[in-house]
Amino acid sequence: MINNYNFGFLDEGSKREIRRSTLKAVAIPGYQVPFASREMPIARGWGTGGLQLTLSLINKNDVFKAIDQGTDESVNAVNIKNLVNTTTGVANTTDTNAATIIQSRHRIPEEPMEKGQVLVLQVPMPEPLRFVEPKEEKTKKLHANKDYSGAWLVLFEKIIKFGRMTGGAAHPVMVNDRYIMSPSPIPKYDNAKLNNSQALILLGAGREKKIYALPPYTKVESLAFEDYPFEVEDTSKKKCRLCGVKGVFFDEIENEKTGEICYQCNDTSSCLKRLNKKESA
Amino acid sequence: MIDLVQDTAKSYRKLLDSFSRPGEIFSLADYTKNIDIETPFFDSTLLISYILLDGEVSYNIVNPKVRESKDLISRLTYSNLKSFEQSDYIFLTLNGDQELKKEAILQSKVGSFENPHKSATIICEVESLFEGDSYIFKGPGIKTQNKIQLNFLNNWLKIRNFKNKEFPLGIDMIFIDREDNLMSIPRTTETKGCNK
Repeated sequence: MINNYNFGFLDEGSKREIRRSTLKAVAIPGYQVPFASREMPIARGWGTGGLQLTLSLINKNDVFKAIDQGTDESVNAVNIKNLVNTTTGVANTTDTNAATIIQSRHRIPEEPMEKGQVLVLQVPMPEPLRFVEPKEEKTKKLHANKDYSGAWLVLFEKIIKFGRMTGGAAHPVMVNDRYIMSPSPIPKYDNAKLNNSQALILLGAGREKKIYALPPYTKVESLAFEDYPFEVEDTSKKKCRLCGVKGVFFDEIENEKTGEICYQCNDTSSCLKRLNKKESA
Repeated sequence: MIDLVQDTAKSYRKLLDSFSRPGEIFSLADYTKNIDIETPFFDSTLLISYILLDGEVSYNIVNPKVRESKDLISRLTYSNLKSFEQSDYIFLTLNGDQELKKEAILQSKVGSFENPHKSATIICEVESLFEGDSYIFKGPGIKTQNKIQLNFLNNWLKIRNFKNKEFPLGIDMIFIDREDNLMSIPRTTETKGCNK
């Protein structure tokens, strides 16, 4: 088996192309920059976009964290960490504050990210207008003309059908008053963290070959109507069964025998931190 | 000797940081010290060409030693030399002709509404990023506002704002000084206060 990889698995030409696209994405917040997504040693749809962004960014001084639906220990997160560690030698961490690059699937960490950190989000469906227009050629025109009536119509139809804006994740956002963007399937609870984030947020869709970005301190608004404001999941009355915290994003766990429902922090590293703090107190 | 993997990776992060935080100054000195090639421009200009250029993109350069500069960049990066109108990256070196620099910016491509990323990035050498006329910047990447000092071409801001009048069309600018400091001004940055 040949294991003499280039640093960060990708060849330097691929990194350069991803880096050029990333800089353009930062210069045009919310705009999807096409890139020549490379074949990776994981299947498309399993985080190849995020992984390519990470590997184009990373250097020997970095500390890397990967999370999958909030957890540091899921199969996807562990495999990505192993791949990055094997091909770069960079240290892994579960501590949000200690990481310089955080690659995440479907969550933004509970602990606030700071200046100098980069959040890389894996995106399965980058195009927020795909549900109303299947052709890429046409969605590009709609973005060019800032014609977002389709995106508004999708929300309107949900209100007509269900009386509220349904859909728990990937609620579209308006970036810098110009582009409507899919924030990746993060829960609505996380949308507020995109607005004026201190950290740089990069989004990569490997299968769809798109990179887009939110520079720090960028205005990001979740789409909503005056009479139907944007609402996030109410977690104020729920409590983590392990650390006891209230008001964070939870996993709902049902006891199959009793039918009893309990809640547990979705962000495992912040939950563990609270538990350790409790124990050492 | 420059490490084309690690030095460019670390320099790229500085470049990315500078794009993310317009008006803030970042140093490339730790990486340019490894450059051992004689060039008719700043070492940081060569470093940026290593980060950005290859055979898939095009460039142009305004420099008094035009032939030497072009030969060097083409040989080291395999990038294609194109006219100002067609170039993806345009380097304006410190000693380059002032009028030609203005012409280069004016002729640079701004992309289209469907493909605003197909626009030029201008890399400008200046004497220092710590002295000169004052400018106030606002926009994405800036918490409230950034005050910067810069001596560049007369009316450069007017030309830049003319190119960027219709967002998302526009050009992005990278400034580097003799001490290998770096600052970027992407097209989203709004200027306020000074119009020198």
